[in-house]
Amino acid sequence: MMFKRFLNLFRPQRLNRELRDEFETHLDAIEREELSRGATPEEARRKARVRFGNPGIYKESTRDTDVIRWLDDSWRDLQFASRQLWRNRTFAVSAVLLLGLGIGANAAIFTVISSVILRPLPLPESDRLLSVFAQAGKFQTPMSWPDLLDVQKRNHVFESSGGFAPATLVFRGGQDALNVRGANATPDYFTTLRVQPIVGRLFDPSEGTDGGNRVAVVREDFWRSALDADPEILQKTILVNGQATQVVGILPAAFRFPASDSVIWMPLIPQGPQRSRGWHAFSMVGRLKPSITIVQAQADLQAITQQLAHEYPEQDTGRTAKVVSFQDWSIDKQLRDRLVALQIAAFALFLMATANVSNLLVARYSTRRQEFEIRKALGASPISQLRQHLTESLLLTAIGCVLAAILTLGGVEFLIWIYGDQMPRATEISPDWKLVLTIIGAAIAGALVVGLGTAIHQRRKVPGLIASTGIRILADRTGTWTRKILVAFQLVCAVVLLTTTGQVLHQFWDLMHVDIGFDRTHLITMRVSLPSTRYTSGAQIGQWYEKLTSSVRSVPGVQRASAANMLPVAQWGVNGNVAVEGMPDDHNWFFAEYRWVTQDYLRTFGIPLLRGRQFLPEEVSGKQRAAIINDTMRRQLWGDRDPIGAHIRVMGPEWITVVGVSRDVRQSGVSSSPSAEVYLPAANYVVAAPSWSIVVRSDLPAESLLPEIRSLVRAQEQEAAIDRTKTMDEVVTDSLSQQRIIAGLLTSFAVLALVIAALGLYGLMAFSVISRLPELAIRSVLGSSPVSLLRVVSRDALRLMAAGLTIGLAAVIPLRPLLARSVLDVGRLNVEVFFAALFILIVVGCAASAVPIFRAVRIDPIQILRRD
Amino acid sequence: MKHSNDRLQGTLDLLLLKVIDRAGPLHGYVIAQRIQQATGDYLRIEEGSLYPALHRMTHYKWLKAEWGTTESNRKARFYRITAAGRQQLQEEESRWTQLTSAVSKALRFA
Repeated sequence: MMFKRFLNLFRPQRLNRELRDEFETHLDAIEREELSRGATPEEARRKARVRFGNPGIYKESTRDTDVIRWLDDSWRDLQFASRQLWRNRTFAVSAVLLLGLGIGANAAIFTVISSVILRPLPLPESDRLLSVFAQAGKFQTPMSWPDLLDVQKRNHVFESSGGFAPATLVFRGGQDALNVRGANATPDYFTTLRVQPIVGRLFDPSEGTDGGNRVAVVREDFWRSALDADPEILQKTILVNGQATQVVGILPAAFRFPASDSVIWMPLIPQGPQRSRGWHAFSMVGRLKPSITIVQAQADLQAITQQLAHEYPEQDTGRTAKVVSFQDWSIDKQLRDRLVALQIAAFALFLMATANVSNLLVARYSTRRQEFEIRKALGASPISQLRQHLTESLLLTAIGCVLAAILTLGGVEFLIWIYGDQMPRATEISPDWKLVLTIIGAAIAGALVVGLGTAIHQRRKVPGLIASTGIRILADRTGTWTRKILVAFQLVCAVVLLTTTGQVLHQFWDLMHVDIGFDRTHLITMRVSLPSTRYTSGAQIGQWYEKLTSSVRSVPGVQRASAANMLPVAQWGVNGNVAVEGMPDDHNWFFAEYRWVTQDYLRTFGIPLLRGRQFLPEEVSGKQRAAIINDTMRRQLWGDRDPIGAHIRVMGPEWITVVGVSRDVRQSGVSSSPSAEVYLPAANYVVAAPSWSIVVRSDLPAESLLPEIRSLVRAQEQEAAIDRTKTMDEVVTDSLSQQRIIAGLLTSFAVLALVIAALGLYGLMAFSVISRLPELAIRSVLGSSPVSLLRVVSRDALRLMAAGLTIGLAAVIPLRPLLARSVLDVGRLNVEVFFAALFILIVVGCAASAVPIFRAVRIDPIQILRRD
Repeated sequence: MKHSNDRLQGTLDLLLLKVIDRAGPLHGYVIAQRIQQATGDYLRIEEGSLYPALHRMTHYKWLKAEWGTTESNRKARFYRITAAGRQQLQEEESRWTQLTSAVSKALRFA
């Protein structure tokens, strides 16, 4: 019964038909009665109608008892509201778009932030996991193997801890060898993280020390894609780094530590120089005992490292241990800062959008005052009017929220697409519906407030004035103040967004045009990796690449060719101390980047030599030790003195002669200023990492050279893997892709902000001019010149802009440190850019208000006065 | 859902329930006719109150309505009293008797 009544809401026609049937039977009966009394048929019909009265009214009152009236009215309100919105499609579409964009962008960014930064790691009791690394001055580096073992042994704060080192491995599945990412890890790495294999086992304690038995653990998705989901995999071996390796277990696909692309883990067994206290390549993770805090852990580890510095002053002086939560460690700091910056920008946009929608609503109610007055005069109760307001705001918000939900899903996908590689936890991202609902709730609350606010405005007005007289000479200033404040607020947000974006763009422009120190055109690069099991000594690896590059030089079209263990701009991080003969002790541990290069490296890149000479053949072959340093190092260590002929010590006991000084190159990325560097001949390579980059200078395109180079590589080593074939131009461009994306996103936000602010200003001015047309007409008739009219109307716009911009500037100043940290790598504000952004705003603002203002000046006063 | 003209409406409800109880199922016109005849044309039920009252009582489940055809072969809704309606009728009847006897006593002795 209740249900049927409810159904009646949606089928008023049917209910009406039923009532009509019932009434007509009744009329018919009366008619018959009159006929039997002797009336003519027409008379009978007329009398029946007279006796029965107005069926419409009966219908209404019958219906009122029949349906739940409130619901019915709401339905009617909703229908009315949709009709209203449909009639003002421009208004409705812009409001829905603004709300949808504002909410959607925020929800998407926050979803990513909460999934990858705020949510705990998907490991049991992950809040007790700490990452330990070494702090040397302002540098944070991994630890040396002996230090790591000592910290493991001597600490009182961890219930367990493990060591690991990310690694690139050569995996050979089919014909071609592949570079895959993975890690070397001690058996207690897994027990500390408390991860369980889905199949098989993890490493035995014995496998942490014994290198004879080669075992590996793979990740589920790697097993599915690269190993064809072989169910018998535990009985088989795979080829890793050129050696048959037993797969002993499969880890869940969600286990992405240390990196999101880690798919193979092998036991960590340092060899040769890796076991020295000067070799910093090992990371450590520890699980705190239940009652220990992170501060206690920091104190304990610091005490241990001080002890170590005392015991091994040569290697460990100036180094301390530093702990951070494993969660913080696993987050890319730059990524976090960028997401936060985007979130701030999106939030500013959201505020602007909301302000603009409120503005639109207020404006609409003001223009519909006449309608409301008429409805009031016809007996609409204040409550029903209020309900009407709220229904409209809610309907708008609801549609906006649907759009927002769609945009959230799309936006999250977009962010994963952009940042997926940098987020170890990208797979964990899922829209946070609780949050989306919260935002939607906030939006609805906002809609209610705006609806109520405007309704209250309505109530304050003298009723009947407009409807009864139709006088519109007096400007209708309803809500003018509200609107002005909202527009000023939008201007404030626009100033903040625009100036910030200007800074970012300026910085990006600088990066694009920064002198990276070499000629990046006509350079082709590729990475060539060798199986690490058969290439174990540094000298062997260095000589292999020396041999390869000398044969590549003979390829037709190749002008110069060289190889280095690290590609400039894209790779860095092999570094250590430099001791200088005859320098005082405090220079004893000067910190520099090391690069091992084959012959002709500086010439291939076109890096000029500032002093001294290139390596001689006997130095290239490694028989005589020589080094070329960069200008930064010369300046920092020697100042005005000549470094040529000086002796330095790098990773080993031998003295090395400095034979040349090269120009600075932005080795560690376009945005970082050059640091001290030492170039050493490939033959003196000491690291057992056989993955170098080859660089070829040629006017030919990469495709025409590649087959020949590939066959040269294969001829020298069948198991070598070649990847990352790019021009140096692409390497530089790719290294800026993150900056480009954030600059792009911020620019689109800023443009949107500019459009919203302009629309807000335009709307306000247009509305104010229209409502003041009669006043302006009278002024004009009374002799005001166009110029004075212009002054009258533009005064408002100018005041508003001045207020908005001033407050905006005032807001930028306290926000500066925050912005500098999260957006600007350089962190200094450029004044010209700042004022350029302001100038743009002023121009756009003037243009937006000019259109309605000039309309005001060109009025024909007679026509306007006649109209009323 | 009590209205300000509670007592009058109560009276109308009482009359309608009584007629339908005695002669039901009946359609609107016949109900109005019967009341008019029974009171010797003294009480005439307005159609404007009749149908809202019938629908309201159908809501309260005092009446049950179903479609049927009249003697003149037209579609009409026939109302029949329910158990709840009968109980309501008893209450209304006794309340009415009390009221009228109280009123006549007052007229006689006051």
